[in-house]
Amino acid sequence: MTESSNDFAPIYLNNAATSFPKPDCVAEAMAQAVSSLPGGDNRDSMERRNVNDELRIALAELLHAPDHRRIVLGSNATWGLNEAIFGLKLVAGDCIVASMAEHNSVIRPVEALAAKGIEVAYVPVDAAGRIDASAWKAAIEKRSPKLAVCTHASNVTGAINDVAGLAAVAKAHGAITLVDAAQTLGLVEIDASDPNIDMIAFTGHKYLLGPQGTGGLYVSEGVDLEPHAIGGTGVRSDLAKMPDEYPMHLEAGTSNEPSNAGLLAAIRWAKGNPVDLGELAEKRSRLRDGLTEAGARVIDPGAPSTPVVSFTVEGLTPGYVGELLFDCYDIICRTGLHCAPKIFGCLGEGLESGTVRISLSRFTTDEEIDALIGAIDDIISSETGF
Amino acid sequence: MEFTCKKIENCFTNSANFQYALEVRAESFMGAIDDWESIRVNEKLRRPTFIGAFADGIQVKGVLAKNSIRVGYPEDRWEDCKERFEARLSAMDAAKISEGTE
Repeated sequence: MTESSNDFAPIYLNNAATSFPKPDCVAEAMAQAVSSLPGGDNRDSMERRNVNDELRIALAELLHAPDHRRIVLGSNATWGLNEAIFGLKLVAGDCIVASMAEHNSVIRPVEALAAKGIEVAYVPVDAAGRIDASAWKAAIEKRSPKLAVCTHASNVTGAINDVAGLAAVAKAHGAITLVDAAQTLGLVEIDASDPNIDMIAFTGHKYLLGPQGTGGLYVSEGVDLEPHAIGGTGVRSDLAKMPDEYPMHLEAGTSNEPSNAGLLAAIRWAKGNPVDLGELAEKRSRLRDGLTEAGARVIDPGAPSTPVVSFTVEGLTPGYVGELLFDCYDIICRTGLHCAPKIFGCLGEGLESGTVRISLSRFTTDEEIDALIGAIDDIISSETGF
Repeated sequence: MEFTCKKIENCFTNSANFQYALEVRAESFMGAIDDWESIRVNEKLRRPTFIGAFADGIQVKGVLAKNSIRVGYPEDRWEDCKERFEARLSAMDAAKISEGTE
């Protein structure tokens, strides 16, 4: 079968899912790791490089974590959230407070616990997707949860939450606090040394600019998690259970060392090439204003927010708009519920089919933003009003 | 006509959308159908498209110059509709469609 169409360079605007492109050093580091002698997780000699420990140290600096050994490495934020949520060994009658802005990486684990008798209360967010602080406080005071979990930023609207303030309220009422930093680490500061924040789940493949399959969980001293996955650790093989020491307590099996090498390279690259947040905010404003002018209904969370813009086009489903962007303009974005189904009831009417989500990166150009706005202008002027 | 089919997954459990790779351009396919209940061509997009619907609720979309179409079946009877649509595709003559004689 032959395909006959004009070729255009694709425009990638789905960075809140997976950032692209990556700095060249990421692929180089991964290739070098694959073609080098494998490291021995947790049991290296002083002469052998331990990529995983180097990565932990780099992540600890980013997170302001007091002890890099409390950073456990896994495959993504979902892995970290699962370790945290299931690792607390909550029992029937315990309560979890979460927000309506959570991703399914939180919703599905807590719903699995709800099926076993754990109470789950969801706190609403405002029309911008930001957690309502007063509703959060009320839920915490009413429920006295064992676990309070909130996302640092909505993956749907980009609204950044005051996680330090939310965690302080929860901690004051005895909760263990868990922050989902999947959408923020690499862009937004978070302080793991804050005594009110017990755990932070993160991923490497979004704004840290690392490869897919990297991420993990920061667990503060004093939080007792049961390992969700159990297996070999390379050391203490004579024990019938996972060692108590972190990080190996939660790291069973051989790690993804080549990808961790890629993430380490990305973090080091970003340290030498810090992201210009002001420029990114300007790009986001350019996009928001252009889409609004074109006639799209934009959900604007105001500041602070990540470089995400969600919108709808009256009369067209988000899925159809996404198809047209891809099929006719080679623009790659994300449409639908974005794995965060509970938030849409808080954002206003007419969002049953979700939104079109555009997510920028430091590499997105003004020309790419203008191309998207032009495409939406074309779509609105020619596809609506029938 | 030979074709290949792939389910298009999205956020909704009950969706019944499929993409078909055809031996002919979507434009030729569109022209070979004479019982569209509705059909609309949009020439204003960078790659012109069409969207058509049959009386039984099947919706077909595509970029005119591409060799593929997206087909949405009614959720409540999508299997029957899919079987019928694919039988119709199979019965079409790709060579004649390309020549515009079917």
